[in-house]
Amino acid sequence: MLKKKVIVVSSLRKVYNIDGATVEALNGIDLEVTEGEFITISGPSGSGKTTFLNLIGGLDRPTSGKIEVFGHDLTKFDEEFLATFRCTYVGYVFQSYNLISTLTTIENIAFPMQMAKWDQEHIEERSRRLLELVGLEDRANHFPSQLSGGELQRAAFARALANDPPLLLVDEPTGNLDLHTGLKIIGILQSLKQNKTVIVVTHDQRILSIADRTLTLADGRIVES
Amino acid sequence: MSQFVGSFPLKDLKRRKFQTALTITSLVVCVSVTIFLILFADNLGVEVLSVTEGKLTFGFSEVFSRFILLIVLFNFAAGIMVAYFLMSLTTSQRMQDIGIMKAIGCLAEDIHNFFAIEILIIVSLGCLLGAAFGIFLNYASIYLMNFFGYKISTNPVNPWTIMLSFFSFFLVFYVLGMRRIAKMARIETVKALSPLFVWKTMPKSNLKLPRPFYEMFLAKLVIRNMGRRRSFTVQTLSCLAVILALLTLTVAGGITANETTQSYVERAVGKNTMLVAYPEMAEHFQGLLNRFIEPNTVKEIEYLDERYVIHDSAVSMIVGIEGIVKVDPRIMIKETVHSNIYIRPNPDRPGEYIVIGTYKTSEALIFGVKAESLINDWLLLGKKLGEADSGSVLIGDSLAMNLFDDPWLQSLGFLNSTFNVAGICLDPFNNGMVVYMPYDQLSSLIGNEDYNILLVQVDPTTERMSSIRHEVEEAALSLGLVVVPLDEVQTRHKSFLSSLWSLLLSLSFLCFTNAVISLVGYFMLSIAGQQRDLGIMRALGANHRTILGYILLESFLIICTGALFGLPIGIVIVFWFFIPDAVISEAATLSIGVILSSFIGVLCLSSLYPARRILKMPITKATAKP
Repeated sequence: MLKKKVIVVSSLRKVYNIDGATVEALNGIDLEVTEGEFITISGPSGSGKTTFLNLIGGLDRPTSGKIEVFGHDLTKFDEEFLATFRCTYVGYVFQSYNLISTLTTIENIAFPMQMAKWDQEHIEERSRRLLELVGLEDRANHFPSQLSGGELQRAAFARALANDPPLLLVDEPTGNLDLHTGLKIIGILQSLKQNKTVIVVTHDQRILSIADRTLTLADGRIVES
Repeated sequence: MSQFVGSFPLKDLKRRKFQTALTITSLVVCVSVTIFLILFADNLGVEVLSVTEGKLTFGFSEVFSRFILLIVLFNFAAGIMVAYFLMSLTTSQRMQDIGIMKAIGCLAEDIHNFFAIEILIIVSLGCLLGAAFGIFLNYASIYLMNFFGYKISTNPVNPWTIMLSFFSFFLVFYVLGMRRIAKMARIETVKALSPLFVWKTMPKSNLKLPRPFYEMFLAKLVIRNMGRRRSFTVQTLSCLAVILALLTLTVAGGITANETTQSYVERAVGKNTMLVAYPEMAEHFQGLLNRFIEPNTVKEIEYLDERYVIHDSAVSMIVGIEGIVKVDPRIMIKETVHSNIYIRPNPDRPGEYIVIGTYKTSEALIFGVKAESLINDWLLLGKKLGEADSGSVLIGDSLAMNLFDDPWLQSLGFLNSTFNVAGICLDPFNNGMVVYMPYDQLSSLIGNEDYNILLVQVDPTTERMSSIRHEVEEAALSLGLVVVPLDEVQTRHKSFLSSLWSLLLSLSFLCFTNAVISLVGYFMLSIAGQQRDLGIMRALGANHRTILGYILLESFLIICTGALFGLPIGIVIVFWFFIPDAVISEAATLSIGVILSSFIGVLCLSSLYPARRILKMPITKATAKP
């Protein structure tokens, strides 16, 4: 059976203007991703990997080109729509975890569900299940400043799965972690592989080896697929 | 390193334009309001703490003086708090820079000098611009008052007043700023680089709230955030409490004082009152009454001249008109009066005496009045003038202030007689330089049994006001007398007071500016500290409304807590200390409530400015901050 295309990117460009200097982060990217695909993106520093992930996730806007995610052309919508889009379709695991410093681990996990206005009972129950999934039950009421790097990464994964989004974007999930914690994260990624579209920015050979497709970016272009 | 210290502070201030401008504006507001109040009071004839002759009676001047003094004190305190808070805010945001400077080997002395230059620039600019703006405000206000028909002469600006105010502020701000910098320069490098120390945040907030309130998600976030930035939250609350107290003092104090002083005038002149006298005397009387609002020279007349005599027959004619409540016949003369020294034995040292007061003389108008027909209902200290009070007089407040150290012990002398002071009245006539005494006594002293002034009061409940006035005019005309309705003069007095208070009330906008500055400063800090968290929230699907709601809630809680302390302090000062016997209408109470609520509402909304700034920032940039 032919799988549905969930991401269609064409002629995508992103140019930054920093103090008069023009920096071309992405320079004409074309890509199609089908439902349930597990894609990894690698490339040298500054090649535009994170920018590409941000554009697909609706965090940033392109300079030109088209990004269609689950049938929505992200270039055409306003910030309010994009907020709802991110909340509903996308689970994002940031490179620097990005947990909200004033919330505990469980509250951080519950946050996207609060934004989606789920009922309180459901939020509490699902937050507990996700904590169990990532093995942080005993860290539920700890603040981000009280967690280790691996725990922060696992909490970030749990939060990304909170609204059960169909698309998971993961930025360098094992880059800052030790071998043991890295393996745990890879375990989580493997478990997600079956029912979600996943795009991971990584250089980790262990993750690259489980991917359906690997893209290599250099100077804002896909040089290898 | 010296070049670094020399050129960098200016560049650094330029780069932090908004915060630098905010701190300087706050200093300017504080210095300018104080200087304006001192200069303006001097021009009005009301000095802070003392009174000069000119316009307004002593009693009225005292109300203005107290008001101005309170505002100056509160403004000084509020200005210092806001300026110190903004300086703390500015320097706290530089904590990481200090850590980096130290980490790369910069000496504490250089860091100290670097920031000392910055403080010097900010304080000098703030105080200089403040002094200039204060002088400008003074001239502008006087111009405005004169434009609307009041004659306020401009006294030359006393350079010493300006210098004293300038250097007091400069010194206080500089010392406070340097204290903060000295503290910062001593911080350990590791601490300065720690984000926890930079924002003075605690890993956890110890604030415990009732369960139902805690269930509210946004409220939980807000309370935690306020608790974690405890040091700045407390500083902001203190600033807001003082500023809101000042705002209440200005608004409630100004409106109440306006109504109260207007009622003093109304009571002193008398409502629905007409003056009946010969034309020249009537004009003279009005001139003396108008001395309250403008310094004028009234043409001298011979009070006991035959031409001004009003006989008993005229009084009887007017008394007979229906609707007339009171006819107050008077004799008015001008005399030199003097205070007598009071000497009494010292109870502690037998054989020695205590001397109270000095011998002082002054020109005053003396009225011989009949106690039973007196129209005036002055605000009185002491007792009213009774029929049996021969040997006692009532004196105006300015005369009491000018002649006596203790009017209750000393006595007043004129026409070779001595009188005890029975009471002191707040009287705008001749600017409070008046004496009221029993008619019979004055009549026998000067050997004159006629009147030269008639004050006629019409029943305030009557619907025939104009026809009664017409009848009085006809009766007066038949005798060659003229009728002057004093309500019109009274209206001018009241509108003069009203414009003075309105002008002083406009100061509330300057106080309000200070409140806005401190609140925006707090939110700049608070939001800058939460920039990453707010960015993450947006990345996770929080829309603009949620973020704005979050910030509005924080500002609402901060302002309400500040108001909880500030408003009662202001109200207590106004009604217990400033005007204990306040006269205030329901409409005025309502307008105080509306004005204060609007200020608080606008204050809440002012927090949206930094919120909108953060919402304009791309999410990727907001979350990039370490």
